[in-house]
Amino acid sequence: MSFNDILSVAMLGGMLAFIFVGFPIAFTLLFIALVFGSIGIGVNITFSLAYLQIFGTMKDDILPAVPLFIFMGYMTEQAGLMNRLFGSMRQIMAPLSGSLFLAVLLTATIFAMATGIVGAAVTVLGIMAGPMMIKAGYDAKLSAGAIAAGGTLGILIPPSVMLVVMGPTLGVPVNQLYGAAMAPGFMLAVCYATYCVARSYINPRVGPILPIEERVGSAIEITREFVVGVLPLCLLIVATLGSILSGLATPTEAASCGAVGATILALAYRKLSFWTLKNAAVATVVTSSMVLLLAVASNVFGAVFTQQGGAAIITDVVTSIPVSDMWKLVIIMVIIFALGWPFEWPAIVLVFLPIFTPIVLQLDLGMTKPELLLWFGVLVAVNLQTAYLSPPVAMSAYFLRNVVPQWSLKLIYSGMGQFMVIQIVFLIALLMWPSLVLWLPSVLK
Amino acid sequence: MSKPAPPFSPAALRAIKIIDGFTEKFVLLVAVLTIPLVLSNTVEVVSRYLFSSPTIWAADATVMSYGAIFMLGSSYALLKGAHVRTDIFWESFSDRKKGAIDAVCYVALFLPVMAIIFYMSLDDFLYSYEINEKSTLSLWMPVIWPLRGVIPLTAVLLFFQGISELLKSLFAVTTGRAFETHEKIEI
Amino acid sequence: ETRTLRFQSAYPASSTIYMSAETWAKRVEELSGGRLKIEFMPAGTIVPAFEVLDAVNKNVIDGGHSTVAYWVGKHRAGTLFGDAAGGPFGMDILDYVGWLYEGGGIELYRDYYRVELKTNIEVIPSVTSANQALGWFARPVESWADLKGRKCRQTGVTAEVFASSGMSTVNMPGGEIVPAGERGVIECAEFVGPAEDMGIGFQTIWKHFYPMSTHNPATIVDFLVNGDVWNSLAPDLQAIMQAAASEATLRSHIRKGKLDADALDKMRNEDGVTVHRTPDDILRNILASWDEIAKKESESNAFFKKVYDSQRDYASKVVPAKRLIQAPYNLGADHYWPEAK
Ligand code: NA
Ligand code: NA
Repeated sequence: MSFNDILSVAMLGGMLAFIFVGFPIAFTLLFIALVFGSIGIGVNITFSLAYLQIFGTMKDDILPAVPLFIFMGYMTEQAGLMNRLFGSMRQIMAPLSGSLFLAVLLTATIFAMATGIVGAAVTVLGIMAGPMMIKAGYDAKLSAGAIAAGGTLGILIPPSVMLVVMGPTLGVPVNQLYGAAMAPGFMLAVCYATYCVARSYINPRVGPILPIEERVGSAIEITREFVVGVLPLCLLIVATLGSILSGLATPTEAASCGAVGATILALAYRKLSFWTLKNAAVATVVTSSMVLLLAVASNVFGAVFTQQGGAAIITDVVTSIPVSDMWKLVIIMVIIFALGWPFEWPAIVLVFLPIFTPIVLQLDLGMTKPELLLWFGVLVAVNLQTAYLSPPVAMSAYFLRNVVPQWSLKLIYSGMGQFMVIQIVFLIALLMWPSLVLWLPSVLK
Repeated sequence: MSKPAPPFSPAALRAIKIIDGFTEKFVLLVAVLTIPLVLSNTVEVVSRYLFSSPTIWAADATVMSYGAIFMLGSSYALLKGAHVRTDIFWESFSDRKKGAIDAVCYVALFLPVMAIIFYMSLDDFLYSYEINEKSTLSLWMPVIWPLRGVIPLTAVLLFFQGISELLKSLFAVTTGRAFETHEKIEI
Repeated sequence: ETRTLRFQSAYPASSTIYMSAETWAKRVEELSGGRLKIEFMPAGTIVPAFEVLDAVNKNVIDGGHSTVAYWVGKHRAGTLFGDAAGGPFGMDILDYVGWLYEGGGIELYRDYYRVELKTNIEVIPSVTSANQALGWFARPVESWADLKGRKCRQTGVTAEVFASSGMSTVNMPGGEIVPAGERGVIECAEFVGPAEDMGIGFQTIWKHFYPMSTHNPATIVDFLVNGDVWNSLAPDLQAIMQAAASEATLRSHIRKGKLDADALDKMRNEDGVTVHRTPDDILRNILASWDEIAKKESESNAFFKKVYDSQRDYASKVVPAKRLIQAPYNLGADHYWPEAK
């Protein structure tokens, strides 16, 4: 082993050890990169390299979609669109058993097509559906699980901020990644719904049919609410997503139009004021800073790590494991799953994914490199959705706990656990049948 | 409330107030940049598809406002405790222990890193300003040195916000309770 | 004892420009008997494509491989070293290289980097392609006016040349053009020429190709070496790097004819691309548009004027002479290979 090899291993080990201390990851990464780089490749080169990476990330032409989708998400939330959506869904589903589960999951799925952030979905669904489900005597664990898991669909179903960030990391066009994630996203939503409905049929006490007096509204009222409250949002979704998937507009252009569209909807619903705009803008600044500063730091870390030859060592080690290429992929998936316990997706996509990608590119699984990367990207996306659901760092649970204090964290965890099982089974299915992922992108092309 | 906390330097409290106050105001300036960010591509799409005359400035306006927003907004994000931590162990630490870790990290890691970033980006900014460097992304060719200037400016903003955060962590060490608590930022 | 230098290109590994650079690296190693080894890396390995100049200047990498056209944001005279329309003044690629070595161009080229940009860089020019193509389009182009409203990838001052038609342009490194096309960022693109463009996959995105143009008749790609690194090399190694660049230039130039012919065959027969003849008014308007830009730039930019005047001087001798000496290319071509009607 050369000096730089030892240094690379120390750098990776040091990074892993250091970020568990709890200081913000972005600054820790910058620090480690500057220190190890200065020792391994020289002070001046490290500083210049860091500068070029920072400036390069600031000029990226794909990442501007991140703040735009975040702004769009905040605006849709401010406009109260989700409330109306849930209201409609609840009325439409009312005659079915487990109707509130279906309403929650349908709302979550449609909302996932309008935004790319999870917090809003879990919070709003928790506020609206939580008390209703408690009152209707729904099974508490399954209710909490459905809200927490349904909310995470937003990062898988396009438009997703996570997929925008993942595109440049993998070197895959974002619109293709969107196309690839579309079908799996919906299938997963169907799996969730099927599970809830099946449980409700087997044991009606899990999801009782709502009493007649709870079913508000005539058919005409429901239709009117649907046209006024749901249709505009659906049009916005079709315009935004449709233009991206068909290649008519770039994700950035679509995100910009989506942000403007959501603002107009907020205006139409009389929810727009100077303060809502200001709050959405400031919230966008904060959230984007959080994700993108981490992107900057990871790029600096990655550049120094690669310069020292660290990436090559990792690739060599993993590719020399004496198992088939398929099992190597499985190993990578297990590692990413494990990383999902302590970390949230920004850290995993930005810090760890660049380390795995060269390995994946070496795998011969009988498909072209672009197909391999698309498939891998979606596998990672589904995998990372579990990061929201896996304790101890399970953001979904925290959001839900904040708004439904009647549910304990333990109860929420055990509800989410059931959906994590579905998630894992589904991930295995995607591993076994890549065409579930690759079919839609090939049609769109 | 529990027993009264040990006293903490009023000068430090004043410094925190001044720095945080500045950061709270500065973010409003940064937030204004969301206007060009949000609007430029919509204008581009409308003029391109409806009037078949694409703009010459949308690409540059988008990239520049995006780059400036997340860099210049990072000090406010620091104030709001938004930068992700690995909180698997962090959550279980006492306020005093959190303060001690933060204090050490701000002094030994954060402040030096910001000083280095300022030092390594200043020359490029000055050089770019001197040759009046233009962006070549689009025909608009606006000057690009302001964007280069964003990097040293971000380092300065973060450095000062870091001092405020350092004082807050020292507050936690002295008094045994957090200066303030933050909600997790959603994403 | 072997000295290893790390070079990064501004081009992707799949491009033939990159392959020519690898040829250069290989020849440097052979000619130096293994004393000098060039480790060559594609765009983005260490820094993004458009940061190559800064990276060489700061010695993040020992050397780079790129084109002056990428640095016109720093100094607009860069456009005269390689991507000026019309040669300029009607020079073809050989006339243009003649200007470099017989007309004092090389000194001005060095001054561009050393004096004007104030960088610590030694430049080794290396020609990769003559006569770049007008480009690839989603819809056919009928005329200069028909370029209005299209959004294309164009680099540097070339973008301004086309802008007077009403075309909208966006600049990006070679390796990002195809992904941008897939994402719908652009509906047309200019990169280099038939073989080069096919190498990075244009034929998968756009189906209308226009090989003929006047906007880049003489393109130069250069090797940039950090000044300190350059000075630390023995004189014979410096000479070897320069000689190998001349050889790589000649070889790539020769190879281009066959490669482009093969590429044109393949795009027509296998990829379903329609190859069009570029309308005359486009060819003329490009020159007129460039003349305007150059005239205006000369008024405010002393170094630009100096280079531009030097090129005019040289061209005023060789271009009219060549017209007297050389029979029109089409005459022989039409005689032996008349175009199918
Ligand atoms: Na989504
Ligand atoms: Na987790």
